[in-house]
Amino acid sequence: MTELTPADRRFVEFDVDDTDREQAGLNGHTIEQLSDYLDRGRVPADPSIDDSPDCEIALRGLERLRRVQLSLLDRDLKRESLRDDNWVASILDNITLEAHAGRDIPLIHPSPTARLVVTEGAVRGILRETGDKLQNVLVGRCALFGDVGVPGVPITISVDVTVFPEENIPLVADRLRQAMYAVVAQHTNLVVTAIDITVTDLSIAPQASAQGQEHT
Amino acid sequence: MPGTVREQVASPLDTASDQMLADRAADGDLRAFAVLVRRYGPLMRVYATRVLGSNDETDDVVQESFITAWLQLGTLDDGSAVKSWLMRIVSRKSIDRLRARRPHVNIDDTDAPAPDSHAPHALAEAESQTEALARVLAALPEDQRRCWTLRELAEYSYGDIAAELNLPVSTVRGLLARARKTLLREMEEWR
Amino acid sequence: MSAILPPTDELDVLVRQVAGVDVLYPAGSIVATVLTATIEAVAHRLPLAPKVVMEQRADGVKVTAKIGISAAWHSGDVSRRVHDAIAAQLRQSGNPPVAQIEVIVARIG
Repeated sequence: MTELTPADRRFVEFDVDDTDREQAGLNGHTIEQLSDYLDRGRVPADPSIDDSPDCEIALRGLERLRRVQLSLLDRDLKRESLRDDNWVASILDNITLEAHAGRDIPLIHPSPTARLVVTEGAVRGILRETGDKLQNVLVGRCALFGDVGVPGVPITISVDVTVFPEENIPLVADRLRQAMYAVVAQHTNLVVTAIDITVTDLSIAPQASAQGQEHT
Repeated sequence: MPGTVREQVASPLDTASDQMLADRAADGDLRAFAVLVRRYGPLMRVYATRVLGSNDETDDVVQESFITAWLQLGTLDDGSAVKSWLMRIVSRKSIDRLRARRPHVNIDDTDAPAPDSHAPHALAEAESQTEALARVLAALPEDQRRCWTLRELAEYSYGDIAAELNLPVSTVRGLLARARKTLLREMEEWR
Repeated sequence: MSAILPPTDELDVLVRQVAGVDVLYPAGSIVATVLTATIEAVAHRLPLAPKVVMEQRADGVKVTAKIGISAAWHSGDVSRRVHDAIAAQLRQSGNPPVAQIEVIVARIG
């Protein structure tokens, strides 16, 4: 094709209901096919599209539509982000810890009519807090393995953590493990035989610290 | 004081990965959940408003979505997919709202009137292209707007949209094609 | 079948006064309510929800208290004090047969 497509040439006037007219105006293609072609990044190249001035105009229109869509989304997101925070508060006010309470972990009391328990959720919570208090550590998932419902049965704890790059990982893991043993002993009668710490994700740290500085 | 939020203090959680936040929230961490609410709440609000055609019910739908998410976080296997999982929940809630609002209208009714294809030029020139797009989207027949929004905002595949709306994939393709063509044609009017 | 006795404000006040108790949560299950009710209904229900729940069962009264404690304390100590305070209160007010006194530490710190 040697013919240049004028930038201001109007997109073919088609009837939204008539596929034949649409294809006739787009070198045998449909808008849907062209849209999929754009989604694929125009690969593999299809000469029957690339060499058709009508298709080129339609593709340009689709690209413009996409740009406007993005700026509309951007505008809407900005507007939503500027709202006051009350809606966040009302969501948080309407959810309950009960959904993630987990199992009941018995606490010892001599009376036969006493049933004292700490929930698995509460223990996971204090394990998280313990890790978060250490510098440059963020605790992810915490899991208690074993029968926590029966006093004296040995259990293990598994913890995912993010440790920031400048930290000495074995040292941090050891400090975290000791702190977690102490806090479990403080709040439960569990017999913990091991705390397995998995360092899961270091890559987020540079970004996180950079953004953290922006906030301060 | 009710209705007020504790002072925002920068925390490492604010920049934590989706995976980390979803894992913590699944373990019952409200602070991590709050970060997810702030991170994806605005997109969910934009989305719900777009599907519902107005923002009267957006607050309710988004709140319900997050409450459902909180309760069901344990079922999310891959925490890094929390964004699309949340979008799926808000999609479902929005569509349920639409069904409840107009119980007599079939969701796959494709005969809704097309918007006036020749809007007054003076009006079109007076507004920015984004405003014009917002106006044309709002005027799309409901089923087309739903498909378009699922595709473009929630990034659903054709098959996912079909499953979500209980429609044949071919119908979804047709609705999306009509929506795109209408938007393209309207855009030509804005130049 | 167990009957739920009228809300016991006295026990609420008592439990809140125990050293180490930070928060007193409603002991009745509200998950089912959240799943089915609208947000407004849940929001309006929460202030009315019983905190410490007392039920009359065939074998005596059952009292349930759900608490959050501050991290500096020990869960075992705080829950024991809550239990003992409730037990003492029951003895003072008619000394009914006790089936169970349940204390749940639902949050630490």
